[in-house]
This record gives sequence, C-alpha cells and structure tokens, in this order.
Amino acid sequence: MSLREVLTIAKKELRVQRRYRLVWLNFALTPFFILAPWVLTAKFLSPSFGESVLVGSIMWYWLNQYFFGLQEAFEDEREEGTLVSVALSPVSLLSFLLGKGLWMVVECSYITVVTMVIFKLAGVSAGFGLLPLYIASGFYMFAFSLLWAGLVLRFRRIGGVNFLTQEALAVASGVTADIRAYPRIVRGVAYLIPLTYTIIVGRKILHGDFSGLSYYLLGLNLVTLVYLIVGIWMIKKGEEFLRISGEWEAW
Amino acid sequence: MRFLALAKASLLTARRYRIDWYGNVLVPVLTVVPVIIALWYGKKIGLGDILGTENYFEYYILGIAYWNYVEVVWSSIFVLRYYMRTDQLEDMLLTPLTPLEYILGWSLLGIAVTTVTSLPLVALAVIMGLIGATVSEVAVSVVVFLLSITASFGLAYLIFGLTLVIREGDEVVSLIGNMAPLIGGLYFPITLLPGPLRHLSYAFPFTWGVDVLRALLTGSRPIFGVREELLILFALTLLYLTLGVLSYKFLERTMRRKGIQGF
Repeated sequence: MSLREVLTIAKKELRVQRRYRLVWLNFALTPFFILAPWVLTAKFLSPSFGESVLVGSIMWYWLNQYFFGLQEAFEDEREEGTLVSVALSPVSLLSFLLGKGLWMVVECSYITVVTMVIFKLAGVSAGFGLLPLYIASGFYMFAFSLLWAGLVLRFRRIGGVNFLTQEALAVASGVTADIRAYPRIVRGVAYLIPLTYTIIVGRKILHGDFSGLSYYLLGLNLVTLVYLIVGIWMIKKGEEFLRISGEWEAW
Repeated sequence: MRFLALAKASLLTARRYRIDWYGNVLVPVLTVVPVIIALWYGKKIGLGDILGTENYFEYYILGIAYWNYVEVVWSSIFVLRYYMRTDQLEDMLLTPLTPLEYILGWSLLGIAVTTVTSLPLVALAVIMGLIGATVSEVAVSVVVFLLSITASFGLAYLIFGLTLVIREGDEVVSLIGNMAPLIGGLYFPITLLPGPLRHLSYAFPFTWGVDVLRALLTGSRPIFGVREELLILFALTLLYLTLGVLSYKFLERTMRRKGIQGF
C-alpha cells in the first residue's frame, strides 16, 4: 500500500464524478430535505435543541455517505463487470477503498458546507467552526464502514440491510436526542458506536463545554480501532472467498 | 399484458440477492417511526391544532402509504439506469414494448412489495378513517388516489425520457423523492413551510392529493377546501401527463438521433 496508489484511485473518482454534473445538485439539496423535518421540529421546541440535532444529523450524514460509498465501491465495479480489473491491478483492495474514502472527504465536505449554509438561512446554525471536526469524523466513519465493503464482496448486494442499519444507528447514537435520556442498556449499545462519540464531541465543542472531552476522544479511537481491525479482516475474508469460489465476475 | 414479463424478471432478479431482498422488504416498516413519535408527543406539543385533527395515526399512515405508492412508480428509472450501467439498455429497447409497459413492468414489483409491507397499517388506518366517512367520500378518495398515480406516471414518463438523454435521471428521482416528505406535507402541513418552499409544493399534484385524502378520511383541515383542491389536482394531473408524454416523444427522438453510447 502506498500514498501514490491511494491518490491515483482518488483522482480516478474525481474524473468519474466530473462526468456526472447532476449528482452535485443532488448532493447540495438532498441533505437539507432529508434532515429538515427533524431539525426544524427540534428548533420548534428550542433553538439550542435545533442546533444540537443539526450537528448530530450532519455527523450521521457522513456515516450515511461512507456506509453507502464503501458498499457501492465494490458493488458498482462488480455490477459493471470491472471488479476483476481492480483485482488484477497492482493496487490492493484496501488501497482502492482508501482512495475512494479520500475522494468522499471532498464530497462530504461539499455536502456539509452547502447544508450548513441552507440551514443558516433557515435560522439554524451548526457552527461553521466545526467543519474540521466533521472532516475528521469522516476518517472514523471510513474505518467504521469497512465491514460493508467486506460484506458486499460476499453477498453482492446489501443496500437494504445497510439502510436499515444506518437508521438503527441514528436512533441508538442519539442523532435527535441526548443519549443520557436513554435506558442503561441502550446507552451501553450507544457507546459501541463511533457515531455516538463524534456527535457528543461535536455538540460539546458547539456549546463550549469541554468537560470529559478527552475521555470521549479516547473512547472514539478505541472503538474505531476495533471496527478498523474487523473491517480489514472481513475484506480479506471476502477477497479469499472470491478467489476460492471464482466469483469475481459473477453478478 | 406484456409488461408482466418484465415484472417477473424483476422478481427473479430480486430473489437472487437474498439479503438485499429481505432488507428492502423491511425498509417500508421504518415509515412508522414518525407515526410513533407523533402518537407519543402529539398531545404534548399540540399537534392537533396544527393538523386540524386528533387522528394522528390515520393522518400519518395515510400520507406515508399514499407517498409510497406515488414514489414506487419512479423506481422504474433506477431499473433503467441499472440496464444502462450493465450494458443491456440497447437490448431492452429492441424489445417490442412501449415506455408505459417498461414503467409498469419495472414498478409492479415495488407496488407489490409496498402493498405487502404497508397493508396491515394501511388497512387499520383506512378502517379507522372509514368509520366516519360517507360512501361519496370514499368514492372521491379512490378518484384522488387514481389521479395521483396518473400524475406520477406523467412525471415518470418525463424522467424516463430525460434519463435516455442526460443519463442522470436517477439523481432527479432521488432529489424529488427526498424532497417529498418536507414539501409534500407528509409530516406537517405545508402552511408551516417558508414562502419559497410552500410555493414549490403548490406545483406538486401530490401535495393536493394527500391533503384531500386526509381531509376526507381523517377530518383534517384542508389548505383551501376539498372542492378547490380537487380541481387543482385534476388540472395538475392533466398537465403532468401531457408534459410527460410530449417530452418523452421529443426526448426519445433526440436519444435515437444522438445515440446512447456510454452511461
């Protein structure tokens, strides 16, 4: 694995995306329409709650993009019959995903800035100063999403299950709530999800409350490390399965 | 009836991806989440005053089920893109089928899945709504539903044609589909929306369709009045269908002249 490999894949993604212009309009407007019912309802209850829900929602949107992005990284190539070319190229599957993930930082940053501007116009602020934190959360979401890339190598299509998981994670990690209000068992589950930590850290920084921040960051790193290891292992197992079964081109 | 062959092909393809199949079947179940929240907090935040009815359950379920049926017609666009990506579009276009048959055939599986997954809740909501409804109100509700589906077909025609020329029709569908809950008045009345969004929602036939349906079956407060909104819905349906058919004819001609190499 080298930086050159990763950058080559990211450059390829840039070229592909430049061919499709309309997707950028979708990136710009869709997040607002998906998140607005929740954010505006929260704002209706209190402006500060609206801001907290917006921070959580944007963090979740990064997860949403990475979950689908890493799943589709292999799914699309396989559907179009080019996955075997990726496998034969002198780039490991992990480097290939890292390149995709790097390009997705650009996509998600664009989504975040436009969404924050639209919500600012609608009277809800998510703190433009949090942008570096959103970008940093992307790297954690990348590690958390690797397992979908492993699963898709084995099962070909998993969009429906992926979507259901994202929705369940949104509830468990407190996108629209403070997890301290959850029962103990649900809180326990929440602390196994990296998204929970990124939301808590984001909200704490937004409200200028830095108490216990280092503990949350430590928890975030530890939990993410586990997912990273599991994700890499699943990709290796998926690749092994394809090599044994000869299903690189099966769709 | 030739479109049934496409529906059968969609079913066989979907069954090949077992895990995805089960996941997609369960996705519509998620639509009950806003309903549960509304039932839980509805009275506390005075939702009844905003909606003009205390029947939150029927209000949301009817709206969500209505939208699931309207939207499922557009799933044909995603199938069209799939055939583009997998290099089978030319083969598909050589079959002796009309665009209407493609749209029908490719969306039939979605309609069936929506029906199966939504049926228990829809049946309950309809039964609860029908308790206080008259025969004429039920008849008008059926007409509203059919008009809405017709308008949806008109829009599908337009996007189908667009996809053949600009290729990114799935992005248009995705955008409209994600806009709908907010600007179609699924979760709260469009009268609460800021000016520009409210005016945008007036251009959608589905805004009027769902509003009339709710007014008839749940007693909620309509935006203008049932009679006026029925006229608006009828006019918009006619407009969408005419625009859809004409634009498709033009776009198909453009596509055949330009060719559709690449995706």
